[in-house]
Amino acid sequence: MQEAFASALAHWREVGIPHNSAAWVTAAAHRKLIDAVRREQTRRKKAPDLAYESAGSALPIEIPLANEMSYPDDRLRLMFACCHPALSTEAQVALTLRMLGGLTTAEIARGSLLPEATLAQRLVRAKRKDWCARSTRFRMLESPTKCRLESESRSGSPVYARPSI
Amino acid sequence: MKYLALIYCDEAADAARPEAEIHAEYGAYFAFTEEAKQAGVNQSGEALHPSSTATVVRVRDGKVLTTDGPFAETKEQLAGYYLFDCKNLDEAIEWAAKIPHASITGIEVRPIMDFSQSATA
Repeated sequence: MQEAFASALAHWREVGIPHNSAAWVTAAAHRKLIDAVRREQTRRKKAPDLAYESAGSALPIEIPLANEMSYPDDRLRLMFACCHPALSTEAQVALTLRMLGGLTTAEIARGSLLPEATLAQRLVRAKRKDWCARSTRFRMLESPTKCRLESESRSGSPVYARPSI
Repeated sequence: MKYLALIYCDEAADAARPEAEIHAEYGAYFAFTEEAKQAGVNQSGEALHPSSTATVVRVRDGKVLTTDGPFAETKEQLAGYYLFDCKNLDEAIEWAAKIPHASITGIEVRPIMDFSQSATA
């Protein structure tokens, strides 16, 4: 994820800091994550007996996610968690950067130009709200929400396809 | 005349109900929604995410303050609504009685203010 910030800095030096810098970094981090996942999946296909330890360390899943059957892929479940409609845009961005991007609170705070304490509080609130929402079983019957790339500049939410269950 | 039918549920109790029961309840809701729509009574209706997902918005001294959770902590929580368009309260009550939660908790039926009427009508 340092790559995302590095490319952000390089880009911004040329064009100036974009209006929604956090969302830009999220989008960049997301693309790099997808690339990394693809590389990892290729690697796994070629060497299935190697222990798959890198994904576990790259994606700290602190929020327990309910109803494993609806979302077979851990990363997808995490994306849904970060995109919950109960969370404000700011909260979604912070949560996505933390949970999917693996950025530390300090890194996100720096990128968002916020004091670390403010960012930490935002994450705590977001996790609590999201966990409360996810702990109900009614969620399983809802169709997954699609977050569109065009609105990413506002929401900073990652794009994903409807999972085939 | 328009009426809002407010659906209340007991979230704590619901968490303890078996999955099959919850699924059956959803089926009952889909069936009711369709029946009320066919009768021309159902204008709209939605289910809400649980009260823990609520955000209360207050503006004080020009500052927007938000807090997480419902406006008031209550034993039963607002779970959804239907907007009925029917002849009178009697008819609204008839339809409200068919809503699944009428048999579990209760439905609050409120008439909607109509500002379209002119003073001379």
